[in-house]
Amino acid sequence: MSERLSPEVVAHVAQLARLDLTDDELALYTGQLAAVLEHAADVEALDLSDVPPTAHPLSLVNVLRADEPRPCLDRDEVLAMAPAVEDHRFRVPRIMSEPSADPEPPAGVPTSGAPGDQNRALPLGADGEHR
Amino acid sequence: MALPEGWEMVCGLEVHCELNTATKLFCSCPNDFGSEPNTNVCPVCLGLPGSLPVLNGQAVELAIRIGTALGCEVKPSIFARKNYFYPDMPKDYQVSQYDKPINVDGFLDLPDGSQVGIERAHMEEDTGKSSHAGGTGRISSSTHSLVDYNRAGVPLVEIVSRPDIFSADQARAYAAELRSILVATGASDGKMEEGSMRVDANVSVRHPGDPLGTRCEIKNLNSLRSLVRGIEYEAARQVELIESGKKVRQETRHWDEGAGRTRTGRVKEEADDYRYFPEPDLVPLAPDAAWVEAVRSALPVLPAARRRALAAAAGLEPATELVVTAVERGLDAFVLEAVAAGAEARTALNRAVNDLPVNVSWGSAQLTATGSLSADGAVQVTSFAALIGLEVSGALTATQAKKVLEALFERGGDADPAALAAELGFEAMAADTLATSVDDVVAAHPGDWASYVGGNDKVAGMFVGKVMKATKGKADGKAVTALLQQRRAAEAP
Amino acid sequence: MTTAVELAAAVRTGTATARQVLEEHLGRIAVRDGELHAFNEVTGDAARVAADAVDARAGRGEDPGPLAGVPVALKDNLCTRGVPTTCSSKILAGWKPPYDATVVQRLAAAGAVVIGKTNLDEFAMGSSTENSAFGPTRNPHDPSRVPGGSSGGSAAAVAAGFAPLALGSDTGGSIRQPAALCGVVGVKPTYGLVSRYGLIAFASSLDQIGPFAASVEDAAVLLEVIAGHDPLDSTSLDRPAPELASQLGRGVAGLKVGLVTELTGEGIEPEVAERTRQAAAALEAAGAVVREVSVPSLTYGLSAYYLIAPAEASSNLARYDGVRYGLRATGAEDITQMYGATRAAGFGPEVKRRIMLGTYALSAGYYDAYYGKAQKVRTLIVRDFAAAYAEVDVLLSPTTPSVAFPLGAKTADPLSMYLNDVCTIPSNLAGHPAISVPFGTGASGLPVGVQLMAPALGEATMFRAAAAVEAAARHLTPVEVT
Repeated sequence: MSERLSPEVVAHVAQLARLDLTDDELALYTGQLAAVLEHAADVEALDLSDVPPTAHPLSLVNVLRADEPRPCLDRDEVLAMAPAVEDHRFRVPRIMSEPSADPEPPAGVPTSGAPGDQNRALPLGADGEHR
Repeated sequence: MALPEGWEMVCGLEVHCELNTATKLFCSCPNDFGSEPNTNVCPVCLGLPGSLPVLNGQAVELAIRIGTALGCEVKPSIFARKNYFYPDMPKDYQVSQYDKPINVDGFLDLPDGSQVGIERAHMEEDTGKSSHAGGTGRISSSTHSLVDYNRAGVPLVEIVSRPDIFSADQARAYAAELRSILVATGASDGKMEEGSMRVDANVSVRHPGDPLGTRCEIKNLNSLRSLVRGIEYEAARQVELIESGKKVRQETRHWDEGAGRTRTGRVKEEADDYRYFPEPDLVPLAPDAAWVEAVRSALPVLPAARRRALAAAAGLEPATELVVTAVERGLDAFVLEAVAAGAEARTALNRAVNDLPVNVSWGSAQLTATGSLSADGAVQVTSFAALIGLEVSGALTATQAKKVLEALFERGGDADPAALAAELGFEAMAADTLATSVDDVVAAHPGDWASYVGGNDKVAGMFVGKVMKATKGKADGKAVTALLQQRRAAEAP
Repeated sequence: MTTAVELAAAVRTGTATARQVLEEHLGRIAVRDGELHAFNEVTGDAARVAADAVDARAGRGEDPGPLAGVPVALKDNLCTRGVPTTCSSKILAGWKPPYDATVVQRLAAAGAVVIGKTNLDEFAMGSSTENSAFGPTRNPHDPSRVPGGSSGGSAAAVAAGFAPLALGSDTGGSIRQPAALCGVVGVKPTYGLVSRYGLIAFASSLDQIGPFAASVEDAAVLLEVIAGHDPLDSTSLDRPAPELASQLGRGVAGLKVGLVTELTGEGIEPEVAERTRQAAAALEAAGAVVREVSVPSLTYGLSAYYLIAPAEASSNLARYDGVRYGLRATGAEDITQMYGATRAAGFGPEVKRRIMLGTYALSAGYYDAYYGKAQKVRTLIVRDFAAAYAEVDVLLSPTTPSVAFPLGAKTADPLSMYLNDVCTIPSNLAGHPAISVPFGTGASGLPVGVQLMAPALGEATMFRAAAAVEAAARHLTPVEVT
């Protein structure tokens, strides 16, 4: 598994996480992450194909709130937290591109296919039950 | 605009609609359009550290309404986090339903008899709004951007169709029908101009029978007109590319209404990797059967049934354009009430569809509980019915009726159309005055009259014109024609 | 040392004022916190206002609440309105939340007086409180050693007598491990028992706020105050706060206790293992039925945890992007540069490491092998715990593999640091309650903690067993604060 963890992969992950890394950090993290993943090899090696995942320790379901407005924060207080403000809005440096997540199915999923077709079923509660 | 022989366009639509709730999806801030920037915000929708989401039950209710109205199966669902960085997203992830959406496998029947499959209709939160400053307003020329989070966290349902759409007109019909359903169920106000209904089109082309071609996603389709033009342009562009030996690149493209073309969006710097995982701050949603049934049974009459009712009242087929348009614009209830108040159905339908002021006839028209059609102005059904009565009886010409209708909207309320007509100088000609005018014209053109009596209908128009001229346009063309026909019938051997 | 229960009683009955109690504790802080650095900020002025308000209420004959005038230290990842809440990170330095965490509101309603915000490993990621942007906290028992972490400041504050009570957060042991290393009581409640609203998230499906105290009874009273349903937290259990303190005297006669085989053997220092066996013997002497119980899948807990927690953290910490609050790097030409530079400058090495690990574990192509698999291991652990609890009422283990280690001993090797959490992690993965109770000292004279675990909502039973262990510990070599 550590062969997966090339500096290139780590650099890609850093880019996804929006963390600028120095070359030294990149080298350090490549080694350290490989060590942690090496330790996780015991988990990776388990055959758990029949085991449902647990996303959450609770079996709660349908926790809902009434559709009743409540007071908002004071705008001055909100904007006072911001590093930069203009015209009552949060000012940010130039945005180079459209959002990298358009409302579209993930890459590799054809429009016609259900997203569940992608081999990434997400877990329900361990018991799969809903109260 | 048709594609060249041997090509077929395939299209699927993704429609985002903002739900008509009082508050946002995960917090109690007002869901209001047009507030002062950054006033409808709290720790939750600003993504402040330590804040947690709590799901709005009414948003779920409305999502179930949409699902049941579209014939979907309503299923247990979970919210997931879709991770990506963008400044209009306060948490740098969007909470959305991913592989377990609330509504799946529905369909939408279109007036022309075709059916479009619905893959899913899932819930998610909206983003804030960025405006691009320091340039022309386009993102590419800006020096910096300004973000307003009022819209962040507004509840959305995204309705994803199957690629069952094969023409721009069908896409338009789908979007219009969906909009009617959203409005009818009270789930959304469906205003494309305000962005409360946003349509993206996935377009590809192929030779019929071939597998699906590479698709492009077209964005910025802000009206039904843009939707039609954008899809037609894009399909033609793809055919041209392929025919010139090039390949279609899968990408997002933006419709430029002014230029009448699509433009390539961004070239992705990296493969999309949203790292979806179940949102641990929320618990699964599993509406029980009783809830779903209660919502389903409380659904209002949907557009297809409304078309049938209106068509029956007017003696027309449900697919008739007039009927389709009336329902699409939400005018059918108004017309039917006018009919109940004594108006002749087809005339009422005609006037409602074709002659209401534009701002009323599209988008903002609402039939209020008190039976008036309101937008900027308001018109009582009874006034409208009375006006149709004046037209049908011949007291007003069609042209005059349209002008009175316009005046009714300007005046509003329960103005008396007869009084308005009088004010406008549209005193209907007394029947005997009209008959005299016709007699005079006939007498002045004996040769033509003989020809008309002999069966030459082409000269009828000449007679009508002369009568109109003699009466300074006050005559009703139809009434004149009727008089001419009566006279001919009387003279015929 | 006077307990919180005794202090509250004194304030309620008028034999002491909240102001006097506060000043005593502020005095201790003034003397020794320069050395220990338990606090990021001591909120003396606000505390005096709060204490005076409690005294005023008592003076008017009103009940000022079960924690009347008791100073409480808050881990600096709990939001306090208008008071900087930093997570010991440069990225939030100076940020003042516009709202109070639910637990902070409940403390105020109970008459408690917030005395300050305590140091932690940045964003609660660590086991030594060395990962703080503001410098490490030191162990009151030996300032050359770590207090444990991540709630090391809160543990040290209670151990040093700076506050009778403190709150921490526990994601993989961050309350229990420092409690053990500092010789105080620390509790991780059942997931959902205490509202997380206002707790700055590390790993949402594992995080839980809990008490630190010098005694089991004090911890029980504090948990009663902060527990209970909160409509602002969807994962909050909709049930009343449990009655704990009143149950402590019921003893453990007939209680079935399981000594966890997997957590008493390899990897546990002999002095700690020995104390754990003594605790088992003490429970037996008090009338409990003790047996050894195997919970096999616990051995996978550490691996699963170090995939799940970083994955959730990588998402939870995305929002620190320099747009709305906190640090922003200057000089960036576009937003992507600003993000990368801000986060590089604002986060420390451990936080970066875990964000990287979590991003990797969630990313396309690795989800099934890592995050997906880890979620299934969680199911195995839940099942194995259920099997164990079919046999026994509570489980007993060491809290930590070793006593407090010297500063710097494990900073170069993240994995060796992570191994500190091997005994505490399983309860977080299962969402179960667990408590660390001081039980004498090791050969070095440093505190040893033993852990009692119970099934979900088994707090009352767990506290009874903890009280018995605590009582037995009085007959062991006492631990002196140096």
